[in-house]
Amino acid sequence: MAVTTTHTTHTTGAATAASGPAVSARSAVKVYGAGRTEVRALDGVDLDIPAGRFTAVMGPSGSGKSTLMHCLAGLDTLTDGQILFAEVDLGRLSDRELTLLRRDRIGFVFQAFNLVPTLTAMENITLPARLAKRRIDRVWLDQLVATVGLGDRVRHRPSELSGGQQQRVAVARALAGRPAVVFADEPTGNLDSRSGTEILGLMRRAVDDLGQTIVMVTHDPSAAAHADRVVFLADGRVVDGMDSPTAERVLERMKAFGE
Amino acid sequence: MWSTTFKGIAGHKRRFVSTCVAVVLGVAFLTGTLVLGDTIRGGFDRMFATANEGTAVVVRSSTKIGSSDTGQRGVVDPAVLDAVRAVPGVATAAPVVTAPAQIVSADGSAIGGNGPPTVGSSWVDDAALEPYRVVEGRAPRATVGAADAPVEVVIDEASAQTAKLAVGDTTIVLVPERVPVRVVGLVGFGDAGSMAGVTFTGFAPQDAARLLAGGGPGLSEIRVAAQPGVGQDELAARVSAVLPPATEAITGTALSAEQLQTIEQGFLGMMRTMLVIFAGVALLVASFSIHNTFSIVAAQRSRESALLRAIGATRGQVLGSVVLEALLVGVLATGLGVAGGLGLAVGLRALVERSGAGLPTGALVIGAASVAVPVVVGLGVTLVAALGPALQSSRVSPLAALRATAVEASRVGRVRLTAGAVAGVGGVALIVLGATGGGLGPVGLGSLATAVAFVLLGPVLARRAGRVLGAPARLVRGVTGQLAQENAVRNPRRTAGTATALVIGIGVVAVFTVFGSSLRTSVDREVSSSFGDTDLVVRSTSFAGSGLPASFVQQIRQVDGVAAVSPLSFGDVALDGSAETATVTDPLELSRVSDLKVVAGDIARLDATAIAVSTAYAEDHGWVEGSTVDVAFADGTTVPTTIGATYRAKGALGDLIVPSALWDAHATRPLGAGVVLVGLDDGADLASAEAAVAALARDAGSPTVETRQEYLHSVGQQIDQMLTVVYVLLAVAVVIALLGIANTLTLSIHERTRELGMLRALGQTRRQLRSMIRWESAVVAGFGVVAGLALGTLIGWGLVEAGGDTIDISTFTLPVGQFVVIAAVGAGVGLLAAAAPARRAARRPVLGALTGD
Repeated sequence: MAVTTTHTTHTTGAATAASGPAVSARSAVKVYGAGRTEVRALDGVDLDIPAGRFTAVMGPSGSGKSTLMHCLAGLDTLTDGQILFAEVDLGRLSDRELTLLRRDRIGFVFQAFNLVPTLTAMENITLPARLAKRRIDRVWLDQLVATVGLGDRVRHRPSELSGGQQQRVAVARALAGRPAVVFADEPTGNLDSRSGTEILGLMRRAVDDLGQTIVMVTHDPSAAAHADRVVFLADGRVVDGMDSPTAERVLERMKAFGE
Repeated sequence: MWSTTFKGIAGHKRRFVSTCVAVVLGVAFLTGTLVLGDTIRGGFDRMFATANEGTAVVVRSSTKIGSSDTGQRGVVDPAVLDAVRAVPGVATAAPVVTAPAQIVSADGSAIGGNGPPTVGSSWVDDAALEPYRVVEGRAPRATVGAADAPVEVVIDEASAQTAKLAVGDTTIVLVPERVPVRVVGLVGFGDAGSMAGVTFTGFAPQDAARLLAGGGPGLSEIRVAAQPGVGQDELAARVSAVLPPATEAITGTALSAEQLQTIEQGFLGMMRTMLVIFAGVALLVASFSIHNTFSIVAAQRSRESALLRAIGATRGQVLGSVVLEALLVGVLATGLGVAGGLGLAVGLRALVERSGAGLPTGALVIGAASVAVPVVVGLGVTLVAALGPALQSSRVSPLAALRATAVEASRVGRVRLTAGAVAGVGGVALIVLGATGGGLGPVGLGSLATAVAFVLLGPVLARRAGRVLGAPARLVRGVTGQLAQENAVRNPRRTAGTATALVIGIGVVAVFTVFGSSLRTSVDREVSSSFGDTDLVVRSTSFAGSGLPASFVQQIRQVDGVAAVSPLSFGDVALDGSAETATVTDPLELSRVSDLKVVAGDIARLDATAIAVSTAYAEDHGWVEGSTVDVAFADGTTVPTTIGATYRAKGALGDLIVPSALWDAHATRPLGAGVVLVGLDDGADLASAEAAVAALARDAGSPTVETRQEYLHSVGQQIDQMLTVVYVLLAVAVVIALLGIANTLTLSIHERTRELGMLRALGQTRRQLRSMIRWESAVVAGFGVVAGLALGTLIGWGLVEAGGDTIDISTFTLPVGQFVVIAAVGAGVGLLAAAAPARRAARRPVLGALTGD
């Protein structure tokens, strides 16, 4: 990666790396509906997302993995329990405080509809900073653009970019603000395997070179294999964990859910 | 298919409602207007029927000069009275003398005369023939004794109240000379205190003949009551047989019908036409607004339509579904609109009754046409507006179901572009042609073509205009502003469609504003310069009153420092058969205080055989100085006269000047001055002269006394007042345009739900989101306002240049100040329209928006 390690000393990710988990769930419960239609999407989740690491969250459909990510990222609120983001209880924050937290300390990569179609790629990358009226670090931005390999495509609108290029823009945007945590929700779900691998490689390097904390939700074992650690969810609970995963081992573990 | 339509409506109640509201407002406006017209007409109908109830036949002069409601009729020889009384079947026949008479209130101001007439009449002591009845005091008796003793009169209750007069009080009545009177009774008309706001003064017949007839012996009319068993038609025929030439007998029923027709063709017709025009503008705006809504809905539903097609629905069924929704909107909105219109009519009636205009009203009268027309128009507008989108939505290919995005043609086809360009260039060329001498025809056609060009080229213009108008948004709000600007031009066709409704409303406002400002400038420049040496302007406070007393004019002449005084009266004559209102004055005096830019001849030297006309009028009739023209007067004579002078400055005095000497020889009634121009000696003190004249005015019904500057200012204020009325009427159209913007915005936001969710996830605050939507709306509204002002200015310029001559506007002036206000209002409209959609969008939970739930 072209980014020098001297930058890592400035990043929030690096700063929190030494001091405990970046974000934690404590007895997290999320219930949708009531009575007979009640669904317990999260049923008492306790989880620490270590700083400066790449964590994958896996589980079958309906296991609660997306809900967990939404709650960790301040997009959704818990029914019971706590989310501690850098030791701040998200449940105590107002909508505005949550918005500012997302804007200033969190990066997102979604599966689709990631970019604003009316803005160019570069404008999409700088969007959170401009919403926050933050000064944009040009040097850092240029390095980032070079790293994600967009070149002069950054002056194009999303409709003129391929799916893989669009996701690279999304990754660049997520990293641009040097957030404490980047949340990625099935970031390769809509991509062919080659583009998907590129995106995962980018995220891997962000963790290795910048000490970026990344949480990725996926159902693809080969995507999860890029992570430092995989957390398995089933029926709203953390059922297992796996360090230094490989695609084969993850697949084996996943098969066990099917039985 | 039916159930799909209903489910669609149920699923989009807000859209359905706001689509309806546009039509409801337009239809309600139209219905209310028409029903109010019917009701007032009904009021007049009853009023005239009551007034003429006991009158079987009316004998009057058949000579009539001028338009039906302000014209002058000749007089009847009193000798006819005996002949009429001798006709078998005549029970009684009463001589009536009427003339304008204005009651001066306790505080010295002349009342009435700004609408309903001010009538002085002989009191007929016969309940069958006298429409009024005494409700307090007694009937007037003829004056005996000293010449300056107060004359006994009865006045109507409403006037007594306005003038703060009671039985026993003394005051002055202007006829137009000042007559000291004592009020001996109050009269009412039917159950009302007045006859539709007419101020009435009843004199004893001898006093009426002496004071109102201006010394002439003529009667205004003879009212005849029939003996029992004699029909009106029969009696009229018998009476006609004994009448001399130029005298006629008509039945009371025919008189009522004629009076109603006069009102119908006069002020009521004008009021109705004006209101219907504004209702039409509102409905036009509504049609564009709902057309846009249906277009967007059709585009958003294209996947659903394609799916229906894919599973076997025919094109006809898909078309039927959309048409059905339009029909439901049309039926419901029209129904509500008609109902609302009736409610509006009730409200307007209350307003009219309280306004003191004295219009007769009574129970609501609902003519068949007043319901049928709005129903047809409401349904028609909705269906026509929905037809295009319905066809578009039925044409969608079943394959479109497989595509992810909404299918909406945002590109403008070459045919449309070419047609738009041709219409635009042609339209502007026609307007320029008309303005530079081609007349109103080309301007009208050009205006239509330009408007069509705008609709065709709107999407192209919207993209460019959005870039320019959005620039301030970027500057002020940074990325929020940029997002707003981009969203505003995202779908230029939609933006143009939304803005078009506003363009029409603002365009009409702009045309009227250009007219107003041009009129002001014309008044300022031309009236002012034609005033020459006039220093003071004295004018009656009422346009339809008795006029100012001649003795008052004489008093002004005695004021220190006054050099010249020129009283101007306004009377009806016919020139070579066509009726005209002439300025009647002494030409020598007039020439001392005015500068009419005489082109040929000399106004000062006009004698009793010559008249002066404006150059424009002379050209229209092919006359030059020295031409001979037949002038007909109300006394039935026609006099060949010479055109002694032609003049350019017609602003203050109109097209025709008749010397008093000529007029007086044929006058049937005294004519009071409406305006008196006063010139002062060089070096005379303006303020003290004004104060001296104003002091005299207090004893002459308190006419307005102003310096030239003050006069011009008052005229300007009158123009502003007229404009205010126009603005109020156009407000309905602007409200409809506002609803249209709100509706489009809601639909667009709905389309972008996931994008908005993503923005919020990335850290856009609720405040920023609202701001973004407000600015988007402001840019769209700004486009509508700018285009409307541009279009309105172009058309207004064409109309002023081409047709200004006929309505005394000749100097085109751009009303910069008002345009700034209109632009601000337009931007405000945009922000207001965005308020609710922005609030709703900001309230959505981030996650729900993000996942599209």
